[in-house]
Amino acid sequence: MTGFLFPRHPSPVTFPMPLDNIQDEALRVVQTAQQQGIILRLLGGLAIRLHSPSAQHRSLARPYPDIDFATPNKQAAKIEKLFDELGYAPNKNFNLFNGDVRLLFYDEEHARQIDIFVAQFMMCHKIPITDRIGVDPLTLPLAELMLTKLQIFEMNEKDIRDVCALLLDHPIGETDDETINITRIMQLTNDDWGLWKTSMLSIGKVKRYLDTMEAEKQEHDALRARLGGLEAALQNSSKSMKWKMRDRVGEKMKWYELPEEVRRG
Amino acid sequence: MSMQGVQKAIGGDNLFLRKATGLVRSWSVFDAFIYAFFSINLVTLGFYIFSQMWFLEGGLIPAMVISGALIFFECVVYASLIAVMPRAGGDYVWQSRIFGGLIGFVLAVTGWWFINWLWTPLYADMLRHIFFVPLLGVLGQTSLAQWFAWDNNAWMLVAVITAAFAGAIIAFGMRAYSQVQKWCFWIGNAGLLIVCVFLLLGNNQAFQAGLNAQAVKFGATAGNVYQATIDAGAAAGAVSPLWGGSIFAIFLAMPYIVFFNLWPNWGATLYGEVKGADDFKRNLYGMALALGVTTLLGVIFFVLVDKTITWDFLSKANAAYWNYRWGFTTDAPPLPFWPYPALLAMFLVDNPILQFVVLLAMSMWFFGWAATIFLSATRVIFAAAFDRLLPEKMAEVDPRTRTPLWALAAMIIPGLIVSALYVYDQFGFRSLTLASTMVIAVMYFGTTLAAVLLPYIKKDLYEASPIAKYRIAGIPLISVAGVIFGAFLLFLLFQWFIDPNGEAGLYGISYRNINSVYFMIGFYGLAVAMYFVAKMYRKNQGVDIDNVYKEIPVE
Repeated sequence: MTGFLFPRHPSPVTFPMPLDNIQDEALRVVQTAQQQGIILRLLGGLAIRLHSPSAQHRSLARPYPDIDFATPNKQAAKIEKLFDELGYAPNKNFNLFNGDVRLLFYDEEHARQIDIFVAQFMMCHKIPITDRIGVDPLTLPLAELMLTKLQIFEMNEKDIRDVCALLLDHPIGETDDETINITRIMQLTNDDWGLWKTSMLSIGKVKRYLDTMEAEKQEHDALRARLGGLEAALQNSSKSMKWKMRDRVGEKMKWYELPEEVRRG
Repeated sequence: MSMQGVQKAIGGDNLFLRKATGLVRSWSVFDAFIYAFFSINLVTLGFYIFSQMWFLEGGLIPAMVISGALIFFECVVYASLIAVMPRAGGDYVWQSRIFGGLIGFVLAVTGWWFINWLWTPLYADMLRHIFFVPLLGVLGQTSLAQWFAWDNNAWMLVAVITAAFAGAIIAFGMRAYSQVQKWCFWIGNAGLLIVCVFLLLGNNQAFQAGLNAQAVKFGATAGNVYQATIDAGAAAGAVSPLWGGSIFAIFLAMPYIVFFNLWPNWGATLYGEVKGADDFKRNLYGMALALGVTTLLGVIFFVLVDKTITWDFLSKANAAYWNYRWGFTTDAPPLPFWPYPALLAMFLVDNPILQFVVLLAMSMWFFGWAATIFLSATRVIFAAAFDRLLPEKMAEVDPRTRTPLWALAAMIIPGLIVSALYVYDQFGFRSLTLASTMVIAVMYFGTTLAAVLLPYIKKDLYEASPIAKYRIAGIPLISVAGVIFGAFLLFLLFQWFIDPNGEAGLYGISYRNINSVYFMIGFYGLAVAMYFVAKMYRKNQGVDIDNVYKEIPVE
């Protein structure tokens, strides 16, 4: 009865402010989310670094200015509360207009931006994330991580290094266990000509990058073999009717989006 | 490796120099074009207002073409302002950042928000006449069709349906809405194409026979409905020509015509969500193309109407209908429904299934357009709430459905109250039809003035913008276009408010209409009061609202 008349609030939980080390901070966010029953997974460069020791290789190391996450559709409301508690400031304007697909938060002290993809990854191409978000406890599955990089029409150097790091440390296979699941990649690219086309272009760019990349011969060989395997699988797999119809149109019609920068004002 | 080294290594491809994860904005330029195309909606707004112009002596086609040419400068003004400040909230943001909060708030909330309350019964009137009445009539549901055509309760019911439909579309979000309007665009245009083909291949004898035989299903008395309509229209004084008329008469038709075509910029408040909105040329193409295509469609359609139905018949049918509806005669029109040109064209065939399918397709012109009544306004409400001139609640979305419940409530509830006043004609509300356009034109005038002065008042902002390179004889293009469009707006405002032609005036909303005067005072008074109350309230909280207007809002 007392609880009804005077609701007992849970004792206030104090959340420390964002950590200086961005990797520690990313893990803190995911773990806090897990404690609250919120599904949140890392993607982007930091996710790749967590899986790939090679990301710290002198040829592949790169800075990590921001943190990217993915969450299923129904969790978005809880996410806003979580990040508020974790010491982040929301971009209210942006979240109002785009909250069905994206949320933005800022760590003002460390000048970091937190990007959260809701329900699907939507950049140059769309990649569904909800169905397989439980495959890995911290990040999107490796196959999706690879595709989030390969789908970029205008890759930058960081993207290429991320692809190399992923490939150096993970074989191409048919499972998700520290393996890049080629079945999943083919499942998505065999039905989406645009995603397939950009992925093939990206593989070509990475191959050309290898010509000048400083690395041991065995690393070069491993990368070339895995890139070749990936390329061959994408090339030779059987495609859907939709894919074939779009293939007839080819490059005459633009097949990718170019995301725009969001200015903070 | 250096950037150049990487670029060389990957074959000269341009590198993506983004600093952070980018965003694919909700709408493409094509989506913005469709929104503009539907906003100057030939089938809903066009047919509806053209039907009320039967007593004017200016030709419809020259009035449509000349007003379209003048409204092109509106496209230039708005495309420019969008390129300078592509922000959700459009007119409100531009005016408040150039003139300050009072003018920006008062003109934007009246022109984008309050006036849409008055548009609610007008949208509903169009919905019942292009959807419920024709489809029920074609199905042989004569009494139900008649109920929708004439009963005020039916009209009110349709107002509720309109508000609910528009609210639901907005609740689905911009991405879903872009899909809805895209489908409606293609299906609606396919319907219009079929109607045009029937008009092209048909002849007046076939139309007369079809009308006389089938109008009965809609409640007409059996007999020569065609001739009876012409007689009733002549008695009502139908004079409006399709072509011709003096240039003065043509200009006097424009305060009516702009009810239909003044809105290619209706998406202006949404451009924060459109891809590449800082590209002036793309913005201009989207709006100007919508204006050009719609004007051309209008010309083609009415030339075909004239060929088969005849403009004379349509004009007289309109006269007979509105003369009765406006209470100038007690003789019911021989055609006991609004003379919807697409329905008249479908009397050329006697296959009810084909008629139903084509008329259903034509109704997509309404359903693809309906959300325009609230969608643009929500962005103005959000922007004002972000500036703290409205309660912050107004810029919140329900966390579960992501629906802007408060903003929608602020439009739908007053919209239904005003609908009741209009539908049941309380306080002379039915005389205010063109006030729906005048209040928005006042707001556009404020924005146009802001555009003219932008290069001089906000020099740094203008010089840094992508439109700074466009000049005519050394004068900024935005100022030149603003002066031309501003002069056109002044002409319209003068005609509406002074209305010096004819004994009773031509437009019904002049200073002589005391209901219209009270309506205007109420609208603008409410906005001014809200501004000062909000300013005082925030001052008590330690927030100086004037400082807000020194900053351009974030994206």
